[in-house]
Amino acid sequence: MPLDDDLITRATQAFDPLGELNERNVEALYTQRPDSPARRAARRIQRLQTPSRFVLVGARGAGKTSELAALAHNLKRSHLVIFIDLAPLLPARSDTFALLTVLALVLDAHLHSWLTAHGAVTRQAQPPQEPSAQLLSRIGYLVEQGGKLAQSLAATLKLIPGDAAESGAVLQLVGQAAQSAGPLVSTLLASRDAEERSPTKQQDDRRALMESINRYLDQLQATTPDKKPPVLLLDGLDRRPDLESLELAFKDLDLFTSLQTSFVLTGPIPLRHLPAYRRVAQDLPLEVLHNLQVYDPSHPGVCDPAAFQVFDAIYRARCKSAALPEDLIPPDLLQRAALYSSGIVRDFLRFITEALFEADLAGSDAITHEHMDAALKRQRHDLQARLNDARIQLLMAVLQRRTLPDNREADDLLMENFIVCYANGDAWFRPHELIAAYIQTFEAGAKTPL
Amino acid sequence: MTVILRDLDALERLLERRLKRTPQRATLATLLLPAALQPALLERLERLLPQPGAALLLPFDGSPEAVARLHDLNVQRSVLLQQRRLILFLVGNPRDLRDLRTHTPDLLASPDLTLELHPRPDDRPWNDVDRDLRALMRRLYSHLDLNPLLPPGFSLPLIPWEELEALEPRRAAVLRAARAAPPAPLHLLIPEAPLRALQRERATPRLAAVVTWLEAQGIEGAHALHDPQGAFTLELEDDNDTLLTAEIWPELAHAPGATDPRAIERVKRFLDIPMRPPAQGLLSPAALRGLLQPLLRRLPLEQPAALLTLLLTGSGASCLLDSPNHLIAALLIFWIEERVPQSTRDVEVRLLLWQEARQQAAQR
Repeated sequence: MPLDDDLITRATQAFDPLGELNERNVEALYTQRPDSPARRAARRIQRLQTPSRFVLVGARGAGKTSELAALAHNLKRSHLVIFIDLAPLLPARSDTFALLTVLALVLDAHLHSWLTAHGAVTRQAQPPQEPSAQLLSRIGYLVEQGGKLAQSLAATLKLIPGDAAESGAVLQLVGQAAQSAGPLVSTLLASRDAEERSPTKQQDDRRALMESINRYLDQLQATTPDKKPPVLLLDGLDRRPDLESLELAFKDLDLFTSLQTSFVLTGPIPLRHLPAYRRVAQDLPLEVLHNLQVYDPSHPGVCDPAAFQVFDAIYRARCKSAALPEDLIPPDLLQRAALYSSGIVRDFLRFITEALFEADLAGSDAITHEHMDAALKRQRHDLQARLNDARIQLLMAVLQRRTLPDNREADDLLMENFIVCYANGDAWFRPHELIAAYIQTFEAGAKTPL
Repeated sequence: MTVILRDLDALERLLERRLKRTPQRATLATLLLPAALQPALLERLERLLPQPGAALLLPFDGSPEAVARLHDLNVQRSVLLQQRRLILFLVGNPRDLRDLRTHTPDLLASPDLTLELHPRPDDRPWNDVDRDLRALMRRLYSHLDLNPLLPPGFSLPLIPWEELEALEPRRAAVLRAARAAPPAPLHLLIPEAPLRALQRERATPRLAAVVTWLEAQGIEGAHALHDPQGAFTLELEDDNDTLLTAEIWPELAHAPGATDPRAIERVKRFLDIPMRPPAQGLLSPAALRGLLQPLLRRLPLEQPAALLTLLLTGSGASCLLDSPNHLIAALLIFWIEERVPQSTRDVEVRLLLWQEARQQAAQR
């Protein structure tokens, strides 16, 4: 008898690789890793007197947003957590100054949204766009555009959960709210021509911008009932469309170091190689969310037991949350999915859902090796179709030397998860497990790929 | 996952199934299809998702405008997934497909479906089908260079093209295309023995004898066989619109059939041949096992130019055996599979064995 229709649908949703952890489900679904950056960061932010700030980097799909969601959850009782998804807010070619301008506007809008929600001020008494309008004018933007944006932000900001006093609050600018502000942000940013401003003026602009941001943060802390210090969780910069956009966003990274509050930025793995980052590396340390270390060179073909424990916990948490039988996927299939995921959680979930889909299409009564094989094979073909001679040569070099070549193509491959980074022992690199064996067939002595 | 489809009906069925499984968000898919089919596709989608705005169709042709649009969309993943039921990127060729993924590294980091629609060959001129299939095969398998596997002393008989065309009238179009196609690397590999057999038996095909033998093996649907010039062709089409044509040369059909259910499972897995349950099919798994098992047993590495040609159209792992590399690759897979321990399911191990086989062959 084929697998139950409802069961397949629930399982497909439970293991959805594109689902994100958020305030509602983080408690049930978050699985802590042995080296969880969220736990370390929360402790540091809670215990240190001075602002604690760092950049959380990791592979695409490794779980950075999940770590941020867990961090927000952990900090919300002690801090005023402000969670902003910068990805839909910022146009592709935005530099650091533009990014911080948007942050200033968001904080200003947050401030007035917060005050309005708690009855401290009314919109009539203090128009929300006024302070940011002054700032925008001073640093070279068209005030009219800024006013519209401030109004839009004030209208769309969300407080989750609603009662901040009882359970702590996470101020969020994500999803639809962030996207709807995107076009206005673009118009605003286009209204300033940085090249027209002299170097001295630009220095003044930077100082004024950072002073305003710090002032907004102070005001936010002062006006909330329990005087909780704010902490900024800035997600989405890892979703810049290409390395040029990434470099632009981090061009003046030292501006961030003058922020007088704790904050966490997310970024992609290649960030650590950017010259702009190296300049501020001491003041803005990296927290690396390594891929789970599924591959052990001394035991190839076998998923590392410690890493598998984490994947198994992720699987069980989702089974429990969706009331699915834990034996839905046999353990040996889970091990295969874990190994070939290269330690990337999203890939692990993808393999599970695709094996489910294969079983669904076949009308099978259970998920078997055949379905998992087919799922892995299709994903492998997907990756192979995106390779060319140059990329194969590069991946061969990575496979042989376990290091990352110093060139742009290698960074692109790292961004796209063709190359993954493990940290068992030293940090080292390897082609994604799905294609590692395939790349091996081209190794020295063999003919070069056609 | 990459799925290669034959027609819009198959596409509609697959999308319907997938949409049903992900009611909580949009299904994210890329589709490579001929431009001529786009209007028909729109009609199908309107029927499948009648609600306004449920489907977001995004044609991509590599133009600067299209690239700029992708950059904007790339950062809107979570919102797009919530607002829509289907987000479908349309491309007309594999290069655009690769570029598409480059410009949307986040949105398409993990698409639900990577679809390719290659219309049913019957509906199109053979030359078009042949050209497209060759392009597909080059893309999927052009990396396979198995020349080192050829045993020492192995030589291809040099057969004049004209003679080949005379021997293989059904393939005349293919042969002509092969000759014309720049840089024309294709060779038709015909070992001497079957060539002689072909020449000898062209006038007296042994169809009746083979049908009798097939029936003795418990093969259903022997009526599906017919006799093109000296070879016997089986055609079966499954529910997923995969068309398998197997040409079996007469000598093979006389080999005793073995019954190892695992062998056919392995072959099936490797070649992605979805099978019907025996009750519904023209050709049961047992039948195909009966046909392939003799080959598995008899296939020596020393004779890589085997007597079996598989023309698989319609699956992601399809292989068009019209060049030595493809032919040898498929045969090598059989050969390796036959020798890999049953317990070894690991792709990596299989590939290592493959590599080992290459080295052994190269050393001989």
